Amino acid sequence: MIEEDIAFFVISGLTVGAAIFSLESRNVIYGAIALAFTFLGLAGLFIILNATFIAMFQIIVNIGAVAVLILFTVMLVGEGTFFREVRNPVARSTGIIAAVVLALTLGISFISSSFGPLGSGPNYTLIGTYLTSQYAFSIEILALVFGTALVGALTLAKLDKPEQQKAQ
Amino acid sequence: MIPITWYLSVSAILFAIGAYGLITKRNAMRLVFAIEILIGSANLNFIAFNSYFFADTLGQTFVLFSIALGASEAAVILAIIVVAFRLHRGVDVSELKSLEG
Repeated sequence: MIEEDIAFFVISGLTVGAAIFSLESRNVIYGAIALAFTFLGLAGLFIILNATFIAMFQIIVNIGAVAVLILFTVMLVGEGTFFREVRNPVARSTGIIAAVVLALTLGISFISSSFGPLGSGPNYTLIGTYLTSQYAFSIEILALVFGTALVGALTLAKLDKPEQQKAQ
Repeated sequence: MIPITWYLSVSAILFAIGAYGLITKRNAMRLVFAIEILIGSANLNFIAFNSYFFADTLGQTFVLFSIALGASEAAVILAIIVVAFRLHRGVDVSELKSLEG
């Protein structure tokens, strides 16, 4: 179908463009936000590939946790220039127009499409079955990895001497 | 029907971008970006093969693990960067030379 092709090209163009911009942008904060857009493009590709559960998981974990964490660290190491509020009426009106166009496009595409029950969509209960029967051990190990990463990151980053706290 | 080679070429392009960033960049935050892009390209590969050749959801289960592990590893990398910044007042990795020689 032609809509699938258009969607694929637009979303993969967004992904690749955001990936290049995240590495080549002058300002590292823009790069961190572009990384979030890369993850968003990847989630779009996952949706086209009929893996919507993984797409939502990617949005929640990678954008909601990883990209935010990276943005915190970019702010902490003081790499980006810290913006003052600059009044730019052209940029503001362009942003408002873009937001309205996006909302209208999404709304029209939702209303005018005929979403029906999936004939034979992906079977998500299979993921649960795998995770609890065949890969249950891997889930436990993953939980241990999370705990280890948490303890390790805290141990690395904690301030333990008073002069370090004064220097910070 | 989109042939699978289109998804694989997007994954290859992302992998090339990530590898270029990992090799060329000196800013530690750019290295983190490049690593996350590499992980994303591998995940896309898994999901593409799972969707085209596999009637099951095994690839999606694997990508679930991969995303979670990528997140925890990014946390540890950022903790190391924070400590290095605290000791060096900069995140240029070409200046971290005290273990050289």
